[in-house]
Amino acid sequence: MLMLPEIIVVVTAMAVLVADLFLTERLRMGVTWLSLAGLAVAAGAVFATPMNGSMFGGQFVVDAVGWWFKLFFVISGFFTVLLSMDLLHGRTTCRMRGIGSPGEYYTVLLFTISGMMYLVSARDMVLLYVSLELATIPLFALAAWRREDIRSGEAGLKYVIVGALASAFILYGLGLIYGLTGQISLDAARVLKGSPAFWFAAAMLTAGIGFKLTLVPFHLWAADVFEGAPMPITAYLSVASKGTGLAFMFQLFFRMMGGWVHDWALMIALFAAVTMTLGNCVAIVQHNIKRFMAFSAISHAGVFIMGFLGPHDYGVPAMLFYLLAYIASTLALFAGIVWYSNETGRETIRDYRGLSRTNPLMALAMMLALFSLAGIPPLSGFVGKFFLFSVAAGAGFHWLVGIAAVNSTIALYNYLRIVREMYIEPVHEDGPAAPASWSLSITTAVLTTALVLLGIIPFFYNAINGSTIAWLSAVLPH
Amino acid sequence: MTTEIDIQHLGFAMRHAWLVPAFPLVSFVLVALFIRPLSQRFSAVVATLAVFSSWVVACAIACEYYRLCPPGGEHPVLVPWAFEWLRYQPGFTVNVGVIVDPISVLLMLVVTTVSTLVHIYSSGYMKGDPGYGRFFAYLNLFTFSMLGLVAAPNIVQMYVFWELVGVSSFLLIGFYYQKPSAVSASKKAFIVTRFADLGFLIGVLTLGYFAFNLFGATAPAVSARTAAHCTMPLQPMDFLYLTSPEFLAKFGALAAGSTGITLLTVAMVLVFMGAAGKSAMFPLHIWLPDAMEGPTPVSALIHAATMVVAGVYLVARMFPAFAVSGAALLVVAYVGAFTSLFAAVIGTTQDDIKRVLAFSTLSQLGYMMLALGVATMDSPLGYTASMFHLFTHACFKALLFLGAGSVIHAVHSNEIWDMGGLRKKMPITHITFLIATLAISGFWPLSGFFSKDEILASALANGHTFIFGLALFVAGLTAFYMFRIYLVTFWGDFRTDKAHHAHEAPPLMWIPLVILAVLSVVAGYVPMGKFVSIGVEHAEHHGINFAIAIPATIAALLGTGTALLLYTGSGSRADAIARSLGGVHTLIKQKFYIDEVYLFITHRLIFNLVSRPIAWFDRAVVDGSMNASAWATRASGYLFSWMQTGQVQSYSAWFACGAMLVLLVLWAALI
Amino acid sequence: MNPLIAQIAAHSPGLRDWLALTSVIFSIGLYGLLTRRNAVGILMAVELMLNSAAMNFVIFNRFCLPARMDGSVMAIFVIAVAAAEVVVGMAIFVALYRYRGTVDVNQMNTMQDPVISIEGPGDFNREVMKNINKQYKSRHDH
Repeated sequence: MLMLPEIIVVVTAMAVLVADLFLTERLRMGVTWLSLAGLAVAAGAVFATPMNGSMFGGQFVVDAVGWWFKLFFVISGFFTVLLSMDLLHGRTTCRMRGIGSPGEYYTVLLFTISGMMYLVSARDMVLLYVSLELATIPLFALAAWRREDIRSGEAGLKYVIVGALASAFILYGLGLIYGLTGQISLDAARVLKGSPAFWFAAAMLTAGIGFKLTLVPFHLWAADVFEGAPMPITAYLSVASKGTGLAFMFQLFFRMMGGWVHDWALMIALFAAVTMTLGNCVAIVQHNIKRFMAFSAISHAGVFIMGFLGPHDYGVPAMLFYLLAYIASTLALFAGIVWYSNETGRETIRDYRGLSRTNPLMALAMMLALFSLAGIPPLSGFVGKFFLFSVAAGAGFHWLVGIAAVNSTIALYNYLRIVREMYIEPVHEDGPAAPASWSLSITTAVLTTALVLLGIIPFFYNAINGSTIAWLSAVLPH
Repeated sequence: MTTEIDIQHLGFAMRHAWLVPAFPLVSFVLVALFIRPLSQRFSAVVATLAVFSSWVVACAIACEYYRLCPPGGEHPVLVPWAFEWLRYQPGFTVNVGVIVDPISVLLMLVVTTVSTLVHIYSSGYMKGDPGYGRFFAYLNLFTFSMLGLVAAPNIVQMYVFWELVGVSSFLLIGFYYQKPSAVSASKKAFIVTRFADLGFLIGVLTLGYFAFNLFGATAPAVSARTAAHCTMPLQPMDFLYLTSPEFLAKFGALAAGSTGITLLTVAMVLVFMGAAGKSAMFPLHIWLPDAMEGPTPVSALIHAATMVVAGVYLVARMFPAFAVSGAALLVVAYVGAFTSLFAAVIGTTQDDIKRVLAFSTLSQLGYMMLALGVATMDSPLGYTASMFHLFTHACFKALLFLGAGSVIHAVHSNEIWDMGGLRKKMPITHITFLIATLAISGFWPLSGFFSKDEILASALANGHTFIFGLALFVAGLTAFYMFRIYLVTFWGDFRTDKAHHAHEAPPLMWIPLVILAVLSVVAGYVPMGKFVSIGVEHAEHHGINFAIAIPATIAALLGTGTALLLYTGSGSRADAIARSLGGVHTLIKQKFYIDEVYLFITHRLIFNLVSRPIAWFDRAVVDGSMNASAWATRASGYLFSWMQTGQVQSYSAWFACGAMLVLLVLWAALI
Repeated sequence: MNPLIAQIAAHSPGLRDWLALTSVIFSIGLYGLLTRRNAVGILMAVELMLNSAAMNFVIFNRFCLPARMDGSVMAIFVIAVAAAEVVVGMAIFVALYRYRGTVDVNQMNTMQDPVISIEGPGDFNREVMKNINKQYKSRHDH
C-alpha cells in the first residue's frame, strides 16, 4: 500500500481532533502521545513502502527521492511535536497566553505534514496544487496561533497575504503550462519547446517556489513570520517548509521542466549567490534570535539550490543529504532556543550570555548545532556543504563556489556570535533558566548525536546516494 | 611455513577489534559529560573498567592472533576490521580500521596494561584533587587516542591519532593549569611536537602522492596473499601498500632532483622527523623533561611507557621503507645513538627525580631507535630487539615513575636531596624501585638485561662497532645515574622532616607497583624472537651470548660501583668531583644549554627578524583589509535590512518585481 | 434579428480574448493586493487573482481539449482551495481585529528591521510593546 504513510498521518490528525473532544483535562496529554505514535508509525510505514511504485494510473507515485523526502518530513514533524508539547500543555515557567487547545494544534500540524507528503508523490497538477495548499494553509493558522500576541496575529496576516499571492502566481503558471501541453500530467511538460508563454509560466512558478523556499527577493515575509510565530512553529517553518520548497522545486524543475535543467543553471546559480549573500549579511544586524534564524534559513536556501545546478546525477542526493543534516542541526538548535524561551521568555541573542555556565550541556549541544550549521568539520553540516559545493564546481560554477566560501565565513561569524554570548560573556543577571524537560532533553540529545554521526559515518550519505542515483540518471536528459 | 587465514571467518575478538579503542572513547564521553558532575569517585571506576575491558579484548586478540599464526612461524599483517571513511576518488580511499600484527598486538597489550595499572594507581594518587573526574576523562581520551594510533592500518589514521595523542598529552601536562610552569610546559610540548609533525605531514603527503600516482587506481601493488588478509581493498595510504616491495622498488628508484638522494629517503627522513618529535630525539627532545610538570601517573603512562614510543612504533611500522632507503635508516641509528648518550650524560647531574627519569627515558628511547637503525631486512634482529626493549622498558620505566610518584606523594617534593632514608618508611616502594633500577641497569636475570643484550648483539652483528661501543658506555652511565637516585632517595639519613614523616602509599597505589615489578622480572623471559619478526628471516636469539653479556654486565657493575662509591656516606666525594669538573659539570647540569639555544633562535632571531615584520604587515595590511571588508559586510547588512519594512504590501511588491526579473533573466538567457 | 446581437454573435470571443480578460483580472487583483489598505480588501484582490487563474484552466479546456474534463476539474478544486485560503485568512483577520481594533495593513508593522516607535489605535498588548521597545533600546546600546 503506497499511500499508507499519508493515510496514517491523516487518520492520526482526525483521531487527535476527535480525542481532544473527549479527553478530560487530566488526560489531555493523550493527544500528544497519539500524535507522536501516529508519526512514529508513519515513519515505519515510509520505511515499509517500496522505493518505486505508482497508484491511480500513475497520478500518485513513490520514487527514491520522494521516499527520502517523506521520511524527512515525518521526522521533522515528530520532533516538532516534541518541541511543542511543553508549551501546549502549559508546563513551562513562562506561560503563553491564548494558546488554544493542543488537539487542534496537532491536527493542523499533522495536516501540513500530510500535505507535504502528498506533494512529493503528486504527478498531476490537481494533486500538486491541492497538496501544496494543504501544506501551506494550515501553516498560516499555526503562525497566528497565539491569539493574544500582536506579533503572532501580524505574522499570520503577512504570511496569508504573501502566501496567497504566491499561490495565485503558481496557479497562473500551472494554467499556462496546461494550456501549452493540454494535459494535466506533470510529465507531459517535459517535452515543451521554448516560447514566451512558457518562460512566463516558468517565471511565475519560480516566484512561487521562491516564496516557499525563501529565495531573494521572495524572502521578505520570512523574518516577520518567524518572529511572530510560536517558537516550535518557527522551528517547523525553518526545516519542514524548506523541505517542502525543495520538494516543490524538484517536482517542477526535474519532473515538469526537466528538459530545461541545464539551461536554467545560470538562473539557479544567480539565485543561490544572491540568496546566500543577502541572508548572511542581514543576519549580521539581527538581534532577535528568531529573526536571526529566519535569515539563517534564507542563506541556507541559497546553499540548498546549488544541488539543482548542472547535469549532475549527484546533485539531488547531495541536496537531500544536506537537508537531513540541516534538519538535525536546526532542530537541535531550536530545541535549545525553545527551551530557553519556554523557561525565561528571552528571545534576543544577547540573552544567551553565560549559558555555558548555567546550563553547560544545553550550551554544548547548541554550540555543536551552530558549528554544524556554520559548516565546521567533521560535523554533518560541513560534509553536506562540501558535497553541494562540489556539485557547483562540477557544473562549472567556480565563481559561485567562491561566493559560497566567502559566505561560509560570514555565516561562521554569525553563528559564533551566539557561541560567544554563551561561552565568553558573563552570566545573565536575571538568573539561570530551569533545567530542560525530558522531551526537550531527549530531542536535543538525539539530534545532537545525529548531527555528529551524520558527519562522521558515511553510511547515510551512501544510502541516499545509492538509492537515488540510479533513478535520477533515468530521468535526467542526457 | 605459511598459514592460510580466512579473513572473513575470524573469531569474535578479531572481528570486533574496534572494541579496543571504543571502550575508552565511550567512557571518555560518559565521564566527561555525564558522570563527572555527578560523582568523582564513580568517574574513576568507570574509566578504569573501560580500560580494563580494552585490556581483555586486547588479550583475546593476542591469543587469537598467535593461535592463527603460531609463534616461530610467519607473522602476516591482518586488517580484520575496517570501514571506508573518506573517498577522494575511485582508487583513493582512506579507511578507518584496526591492524593486527605482532607489533600492534604488542603495543595494544602494553598500552592497555600500563593504562589499567595507571588508572588504578591514579585513583589513589589523585585523591582529593578538585580535578579528579576531569583527570580520568583525559586519561581515557589519551588511551583511546593511543589505541587508535596503534591500530591504524594506514598512515592517515595514524596521523589523525598522532595529533590526538598530542592533544591529550597537552591537556594532561597542563592538568594543573593554575601553575604557570605546567601551562608553559604543556605549550612547549605541544609546539615542539607539532613542529615535528609538520615534517611528518609533508612526508605523509609525499608518500600518498607517489603511492597514488605511481600505480594509479588500477595497478595492484601488492601480492594477492597480502590483500587477502584485509577486509577492504588495499588503498595507497595503507601501510601494507606503502611498505610493499613493489611500491618501494618503484618509488625508491626516483631521485630527488639531481642531488643523488632518492625521494624515498627524503620522505622517510621527513616521517622520521615526526617520529623524532614524538619520541623526543635530539634535538627535539627539549619538551620531554618539562613535560614532567604533569601529574606523575601521566608521566608514567604517556611520557615513559606509551606515547613517547609512538615514534619508535612508527619507524617499526614503516621499517621496510626505511630499510630500502639505507640512508634514512642510518639517520635513525645515529640520531638514536647520540640521543641515548646525550641524555644519559645529562641524567647523571639532575636533582629532580622525575627529570632524571625523563632523561633516562630519552636515553632508552634512543636505544630503541638505534636498534631499529642497525637492523636490516635480511638480519632483522635489531627490529625484534627494539620491540623487545620497548616492551620491557614500558614495564620498568612505568614502575620507576609510579614509584617516584609514590615517593613524591609521601615527601611532597621532587628533589632527591629532600628525601633519603625512605627504605624504612616505604618498604614496598623501596623494593619495587630497586627491582626496576636493577632491570634498567641491565642486571641478570631481570628483563632489562635480555632486551639490552639483544640490542647490543644486533649492533655488533650488523657491523656497527662504534654504535656498539657507545651503547655499552651508555649502559654503564644508565646504571650510574639510576643507582644515584636510588641511593640518594632510599638510603642514608632522613634529610628533611618531610622524609621523616613519610609513610607507605595506600594499597591502590602499591598494588600496581607490585604487578609491574613482577612484570619487570619476568618480561625478559618472553621469547620475543618467536613472537615479533619481520620478513621471512627469523630473528632467533640463541640464549645468552657471553661475548656481549659479560662486557654489558661489567659496564653495569662499573656504573653501579661508581654510584655506590660516590653516593653512600656523606656525598662529599660527588661534590668534589663536580667541583673539579667545574664548567663541564655546569654545562651538563644546564642540559648543554639546548633550551637557551632554542630561546635565542626563536626569541632573538626569528621573532625580531621574521615575526615582527610579518606581524606589522598582518596588522596594517591584512587586518586593515579584513576590517574594511567586515565593515562593508556589516554595512550591506544594514542596507539590505531596509527591505524589511514590516509592510506586507512592500513585500508583495518585491515579490511581483522578482517574478518579472526572473522572466527577464529567462528571456535573456534562452532567447 | 437585432443587428447588434448578430454583430456580437459573429464576433464571439475566442481564446485570445478570454486570455486577455483573465490577465486583466489577474492584474487588477495584483493591483488591489498592492494598494488596498484594508486586509479584507486584499483578500478580495487575492480571490480575483486565484479566480482568473482558475478561469485559465476552464478556457484552455474549452478551446484546446473540449473532449476532456481535466481543466474544469482543476478549476473546481481551485475554487475549494481558494475558499479554504480565504477562510483561514478571514479567521486570522477577525482575531487580529478583536485584539487591535483594526485590520489596516499599514499599521501591521510592529515587526520590521529598522525598528521605529509603535503608534496605533486599538487595545495594544502593553507588555509586548514594552518588550519590543526594550529590544529596540538594547539594539541601539550596542
